[in-house]
Amino acid sequence: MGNAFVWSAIYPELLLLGLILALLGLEAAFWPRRPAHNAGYLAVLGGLAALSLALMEWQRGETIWAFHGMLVTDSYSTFADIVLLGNAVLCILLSLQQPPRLGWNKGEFYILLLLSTLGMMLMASAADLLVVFLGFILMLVPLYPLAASARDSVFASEAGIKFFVVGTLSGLLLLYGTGLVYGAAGTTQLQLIGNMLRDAQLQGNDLLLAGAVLVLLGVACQLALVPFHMWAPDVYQGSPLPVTAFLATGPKIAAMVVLMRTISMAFTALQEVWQPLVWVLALTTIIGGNLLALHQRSIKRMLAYVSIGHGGYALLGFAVVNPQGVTGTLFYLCAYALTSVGIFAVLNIYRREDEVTMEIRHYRGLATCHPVLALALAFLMLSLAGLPPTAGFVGKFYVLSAVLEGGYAGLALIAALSSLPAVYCCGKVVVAMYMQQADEDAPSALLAPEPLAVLLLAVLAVLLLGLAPDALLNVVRSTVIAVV
Amino acid sequence: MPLAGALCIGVSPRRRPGLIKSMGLFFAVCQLGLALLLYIDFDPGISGMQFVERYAWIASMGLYFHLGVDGISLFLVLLTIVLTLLVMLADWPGVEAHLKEYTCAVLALSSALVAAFVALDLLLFYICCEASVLLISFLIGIGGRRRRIYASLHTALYSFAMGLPFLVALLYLADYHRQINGQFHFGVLQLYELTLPLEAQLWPLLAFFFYFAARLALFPLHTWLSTAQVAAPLPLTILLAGVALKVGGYGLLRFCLPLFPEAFYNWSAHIAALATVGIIYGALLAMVQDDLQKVVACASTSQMALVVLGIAALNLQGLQGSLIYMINHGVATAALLLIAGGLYRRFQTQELVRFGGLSQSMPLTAAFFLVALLAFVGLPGLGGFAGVLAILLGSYERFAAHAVMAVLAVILMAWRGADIFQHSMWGEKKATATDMGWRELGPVVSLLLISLWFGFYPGTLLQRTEGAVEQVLVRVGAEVQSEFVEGE
Repeated sequence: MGNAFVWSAIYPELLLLGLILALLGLEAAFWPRRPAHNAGYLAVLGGLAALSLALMEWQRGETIWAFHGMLVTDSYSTFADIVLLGNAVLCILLSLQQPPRLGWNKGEFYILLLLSTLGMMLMASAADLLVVFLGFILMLVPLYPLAASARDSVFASEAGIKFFVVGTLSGLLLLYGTGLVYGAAGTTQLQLIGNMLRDAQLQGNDLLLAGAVLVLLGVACQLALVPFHMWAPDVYQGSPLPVTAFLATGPKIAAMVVLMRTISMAFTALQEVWQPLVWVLALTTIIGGNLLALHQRSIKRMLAYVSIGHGGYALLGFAVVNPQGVTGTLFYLCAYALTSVGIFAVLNIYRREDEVTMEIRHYRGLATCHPVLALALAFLMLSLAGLPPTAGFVGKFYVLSAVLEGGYAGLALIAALSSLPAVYCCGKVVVAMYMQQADEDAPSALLAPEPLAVLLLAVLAVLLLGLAPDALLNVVRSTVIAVV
Repeated sequence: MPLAGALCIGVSPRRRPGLIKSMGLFFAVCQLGLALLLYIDFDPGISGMQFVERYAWIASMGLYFHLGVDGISLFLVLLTIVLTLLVMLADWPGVEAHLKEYTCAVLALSSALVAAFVALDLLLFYICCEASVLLISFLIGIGGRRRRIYASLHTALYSFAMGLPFLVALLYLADYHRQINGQFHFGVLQLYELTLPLEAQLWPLLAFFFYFAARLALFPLHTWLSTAQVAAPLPLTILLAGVALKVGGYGLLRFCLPLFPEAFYNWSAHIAALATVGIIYGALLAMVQDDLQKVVACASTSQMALVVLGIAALNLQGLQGSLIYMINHGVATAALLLIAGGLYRRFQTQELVRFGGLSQSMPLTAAFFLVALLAFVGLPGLGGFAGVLAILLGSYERFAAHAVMAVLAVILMAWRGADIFQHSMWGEKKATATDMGWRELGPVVSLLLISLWFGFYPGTLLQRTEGAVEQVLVRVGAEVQSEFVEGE
């Protein structure tokens, strides 16, 4: 079960850790009074370096068990690392140009963001429930101060506290579940639990069952699945925009990745227990998230609810338990992350000083004053609504086809129809931009190169994945073999 | 053909309005030229697909960029392109502020519709359909009149709501193909080869049928049409009533019938009954509407239901009648709406009570309005008649009572047409305006000439469509017969 210390398995993580420590030292010793841009650019460069290490790891394509079977580095975890690092780099780029007045733009910001990313990467390669928990907490703890980093705002404090409470709760659920599983199986290693269950040693063990369900629910809190979703809109609304972008994408991807790994490695044999649960969670999330989005006027809250619904779609692919479905889930997450980051880039460019009160009506008339920006946002909204020719459509299409392949035509129909409210919500933004006159208190655009580059990248990627998804699909398909 | 579409979308110079306008016109003319080439090269002797283009798109999901033309799609493509040109020629009141978006969207809409007619891949068809709806609601939203935003969202959501079950049904078919042949496939020609068991046909048939029924504005899924028609910018109404509705009828002919022959056969009585209700309901609605645009919308509902009745008859006359009726309806509606647009420009209203005695000040307009109305209601000698006659004869064979009721509705509509003419053009003089010049009437005249040509020489249409329609029937006939043999 793997050697003790195989450092080569965690090169990207080590690089990231080194980067974090270096930044911490630099901040403390040399740059305390400087603007935070230095740290930001260094974080981007370091993130890209880690990304290229992960890509090299991907090309080697080996499966390495390390640290006595606590960690596993295979194509699945490496793929997740690449996505997570790319996402983190984009979010850092978004946060580089901020109005200085907001006061949160300090060097620590980037350190915390990278630390959280490190936790996510740890989750992606965890092969032990304790490591899952460790990564989980490492991901969450830096996010609490990030969510509350706009210190003058009441909304930010609300976001920070709410996120802290929910994060702690989900961590506790996960830990308690781990404890129960350990009590039943005598180990926390996923592979060993899986083997025991397969050999029917633990069949019908209620303790293990309860533990597995608690683990699932702990992760569900972080995925903001209905009915564990209440925190998401408030936290998204109160956090600064780049943090919202990061919150909406990174933790979701990491939680989904770790959920799929944990369940398929350890609890495959309990399929008849968790599969219905996952089905119910996925469908209530899709229906609930999309319906709740209908009446939101704040654009951040609307996006929060729509993204809750998207979490449900991603889970739907996994609920089918076939390679198609897991491929669909991973592809869906990539498409969703790109779309979200792009949308938040537009929000970041075209904004009011007080971003908390940003409403859909503020986007009225955008098409006349900034046609290119409006076109980009409209295109990304198409993707968010899951309409062709975008990555969002391909993702939804692939997940639905997997559901049908699993033989659940009725559920596919429900899932498909529930996306209608999301179409309406995204349509409202387009309507505001193209068909209504601008208000007097319209925001102004902050055309900085970094967010524009992120936007361009996101739009191109969404278009490319919408028109020619085959390349990424093939990559994802080859990764999925590790899980299913 | 696809090249023309791509070119059209490529046009987006963001400069002076005059330039944009002439660019739009230029591309529309180019498209028409290509379409004429297509028409000349089209070989009526071949009943299968011609000019086939096929590229792998998302190969792992069995998705191909697969296009081809046959007798069913040929004239619909031509219709789309001719009407696009007219839309480009027409004046565009109310859209000056968004001229560039408007022009781009109209051209994109035209290519989406053309692509929908020539797509031989179901998913591609679906994407083009949804794209066309999206563009229509976008156009309504930016250039529309009363309650445009409501109408825009209404149209889009209505279509998406019906489209999602269609998408699931389509995936279901592709998955069925995978179970038989080991690969996902959306190609129509490949899916034709499947013979689904009867019980497996029903749900996809329903999903397909309701999707197309919504596109056709068949009762009870017709409400979006009058909302959209009243709110849409004037030139768009031509594409909306003239072409976008036909996607539904085309879909029924191309996909519903050949893919689910037995289920369609079993359900054809219900479908015919629904269609008959639609015919009468639409005609009655048209009787009481007092807005010219709404009259056209309601009458179109009725006439599209007539198309469905013809298709439900499941014989050569019925199917072919439906097809040529759709084409003629497009031509006549466009002519009528062009005149209605001219009236709107003069009076800022299309409410019929406001018109009266117009023939005194606008004799030419009145004359062509009469001809357009007659073409619209299907008078002998004009294009619509051959279609109506064929549909009625075809459906009489299977559903005599339905056909008789349809005749009544057609007569009712002819009466309404005469009524409209009498009250707006003759009668008490309520309004005056300058007559339409040749610039406005030119397109109307050319459309009416086409209609007249089709009225006197329906052979032009019949000869080219016959092969393709027969093929559909052969498939249905073979399936139904084999079903009967098994049943015995």
